[in-house]
Amino acid sequence: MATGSLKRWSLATLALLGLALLVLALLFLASTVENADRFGEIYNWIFMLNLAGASILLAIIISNLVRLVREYRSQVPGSRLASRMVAIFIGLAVLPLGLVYYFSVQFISRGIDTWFDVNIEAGLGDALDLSRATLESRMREHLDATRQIADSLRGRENRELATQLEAMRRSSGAIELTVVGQSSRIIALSSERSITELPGAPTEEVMLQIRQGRPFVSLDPARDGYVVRAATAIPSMHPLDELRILHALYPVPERVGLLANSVQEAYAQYRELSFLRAPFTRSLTLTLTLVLLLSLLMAVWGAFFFARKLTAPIQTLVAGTRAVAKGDFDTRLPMPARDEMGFLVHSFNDMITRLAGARELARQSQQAVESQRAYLAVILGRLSTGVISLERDWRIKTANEAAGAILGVDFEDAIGRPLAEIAGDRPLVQQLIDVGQGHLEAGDYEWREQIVLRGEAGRRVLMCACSALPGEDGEPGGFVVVFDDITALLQAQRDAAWGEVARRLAHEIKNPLTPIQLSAERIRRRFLEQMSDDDAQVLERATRTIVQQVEAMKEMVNAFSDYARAPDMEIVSVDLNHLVIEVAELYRVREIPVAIDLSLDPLVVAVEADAGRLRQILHNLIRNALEALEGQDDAVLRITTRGTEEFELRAVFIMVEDNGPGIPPDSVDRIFDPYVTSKPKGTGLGLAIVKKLVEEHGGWVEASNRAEGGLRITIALPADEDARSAMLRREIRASEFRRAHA
Amino acid sequence: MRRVERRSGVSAWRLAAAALSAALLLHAGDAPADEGIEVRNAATRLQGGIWFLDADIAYRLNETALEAIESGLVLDVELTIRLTQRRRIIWDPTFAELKQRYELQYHALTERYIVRNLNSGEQATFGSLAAAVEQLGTLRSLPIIDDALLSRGERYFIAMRAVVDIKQLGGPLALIRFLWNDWRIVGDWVQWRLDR
Repeated sequence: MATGSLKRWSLATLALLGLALLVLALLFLASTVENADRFGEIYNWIFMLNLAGASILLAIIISNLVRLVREYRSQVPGSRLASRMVAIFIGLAVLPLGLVYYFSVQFISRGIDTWFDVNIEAGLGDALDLSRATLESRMREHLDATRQIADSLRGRENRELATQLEAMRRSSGAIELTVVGQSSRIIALSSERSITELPGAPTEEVMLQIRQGRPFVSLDPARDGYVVRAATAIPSMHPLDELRILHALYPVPERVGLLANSVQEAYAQYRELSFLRAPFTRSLTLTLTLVLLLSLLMAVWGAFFFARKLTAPIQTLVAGTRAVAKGDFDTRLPMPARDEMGFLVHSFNDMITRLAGARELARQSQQAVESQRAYLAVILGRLSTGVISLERDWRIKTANEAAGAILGVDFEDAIGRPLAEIAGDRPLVQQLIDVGQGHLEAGDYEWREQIVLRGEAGRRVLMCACSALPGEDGEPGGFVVVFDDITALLQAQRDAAWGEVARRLAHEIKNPLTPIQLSAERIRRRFLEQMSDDDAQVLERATRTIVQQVEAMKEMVNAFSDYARAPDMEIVSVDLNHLVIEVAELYRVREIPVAIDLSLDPLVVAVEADAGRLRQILHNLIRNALEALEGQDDAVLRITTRGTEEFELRAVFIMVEDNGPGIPPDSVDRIFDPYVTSKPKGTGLGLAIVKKLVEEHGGWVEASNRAEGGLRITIALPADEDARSAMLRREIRASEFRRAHA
Repeated sequence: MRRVERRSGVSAWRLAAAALSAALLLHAGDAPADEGIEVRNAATRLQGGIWFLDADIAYRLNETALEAIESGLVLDVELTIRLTQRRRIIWDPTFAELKQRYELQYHALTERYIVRNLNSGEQATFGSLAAAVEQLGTLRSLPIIDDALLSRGERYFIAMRAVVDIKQLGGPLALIRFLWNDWRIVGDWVQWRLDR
């Protein structure tokens, strides 16, 4: 900023210096009009000053022009206006200057021409001729007089001449009479002038003409008038005599001299002026051109200066506007002056201040909203309840993580899309839409309902509520659907009920069984020997049946007891693969015609779990599979283990697959309920116990039919305490794992 | 006359400036070969302890000067005679300088050309310009310097130059005189050693 200001000041100073030099040169020039000698003295200075001043101005103008062209091409704000103003200023200056210059030149040229008139010139010439004619007659008279004197001197001796001449001079009225010899030697002289003044000896011209035999007469201008110079040869008595010349000077009367002088001067002045006419015109034109050049340079520089001065605040305003457009509200423009432009800049600054205040308020509001939104997002994110907000046309506006986890959809990519669009291969979503549509079609915007959704992984029970968001014209502006997966809750309730049933059964049924059994055995012992063979056989069969059935009932009650019992967990580090091998080996016997195939992940080393429960889980699963495979050829049982550290949690998967008949699709979600079995054998509690034990570990289990036939039961178990805690807290849902390992 | 040398007498920068101006403003042509001032011969002689100069100078006036004189303007003729002391290393200082000034004018009424010696005040008239110019160019026994003023053992040089100028004009015409170079005829410096 400081450099720019310094540069501007330097340029302005230079320009003023250039102007000052030019003006100084003009002043010098003006001062020389009356004094030519002075012009000669300061001519060099004038020239150099002119040159320096013009050069400085020209350089500044060129620099300004180049700068303006560059700015114009770069479309710098204000450059177009500046260019236009420069052009207008220059036009305004050049036009009148040009007109003044043209008419001045014309005036000078024509004005000077009017000084000269043919008639005047002719008149002056005539006056000169007249004067000359008058004087010539006088000259002839004087020449004649001189001849007569010369004739009268014929034959006179040189020594007589002096006295003769004096008398003749007086009688003829001559100023001076001189007789000279061959080599301009003065023989005799009579003069009325002072003795100190040298005689006006005949010049070479006179001598030459006389020698040629012609008398000489001329009118000579003298200091105080004119004299007539006449010369003629004095006739000789003998051809061999020395040539003697009479040289006479006659005065011209003062009056005649003055008149002749006046005519001569007028004529000379006119001729002089006539001669100087063209140079004079040229000189004036040149001076005028110099002044014009100076004025033009000043005008052009002034045009640049004022254009820049006027456009500078506009450029500042444009720059300020651009800065504001870019969001810089701290811009404050400097006040140019206390004029309209200053008022504009002041208004601009005021506007920016207000805008900055408004923006700050908006920013604070936005920050508050953002903060609230983030707060809400955290709450929604932590909620286990799924929340989806929809537009009026069922486009997804927002959805929290729980919604995605419950419905098995990644809502992050689905924001803005219609819910129906993402429902394509997701039956849970489609079922939810169907329920919602039903309510909407019935005009029910506010509803609450428990919905059972059926998917590949079984049944989901959702407690779903929908609320309409306020909109225009009484129509809802959108909807908020809130749903909670209560499948586990219901299951837990069911499990608790079954546990209660089991406890009661164990208590109510098991107690009478032992007396029944003992009573039956006592009856047999006591009465068997006393009876006849036939009766004994009947008794024997009856009591055996009683005992067998009581044993069976005991087994059943024990199984119930096992289901209901929940001894304390003993968490130890268990080598899962080793345990799987160990348990599987027990079933690799000849009596069981099933190929047991193990696919164990070597990365699965240790799992922190209750070893007894884990063993029972494996036994139950294998037993369940073997029962399903009974009587089937090429029966294959595959046990797979896999480790994962998804979601930064260590967990293991155990999959038990068979190629048996599988289970009916409608039983998939109930297979883990007690007494749900498709097999003729078994208590119907095997898988229920598996589920119970797995859930005690914090894991989950699910069953599905394999595409190639058979059943697949998948168990996910936490591998360490952290994972167990997280999974128990349901921070990681089964569906997320499922998605990750799809 | 011994070892006559010629050198330019116009300061270079003034010539350059004038040439530049002339080139910008006018198309000034070069002077024809039969115009200008030529010192045909010049000689110095010691007589009675005084150094005298005899010289013959040919003034060939250009068309402008001829036209000016026929129009009654006065021609200034200035003869500069400079005595310099020759130095070996530094420039030669001017020991003495003499200016002889003449005026040449045509008198229309008498049809005579007047030559005035402004130094002596003498005046002579001539029936023709040639006779007047011949008279102007004939310089006889012009005393230059007293020999007693010159140092023994020093070397001195005489330089001479003639300039014919249309009589100095005032006002805007002064500008013309400097920008139009045919208004001023400047002869070359002619230099010779003062043979002692």
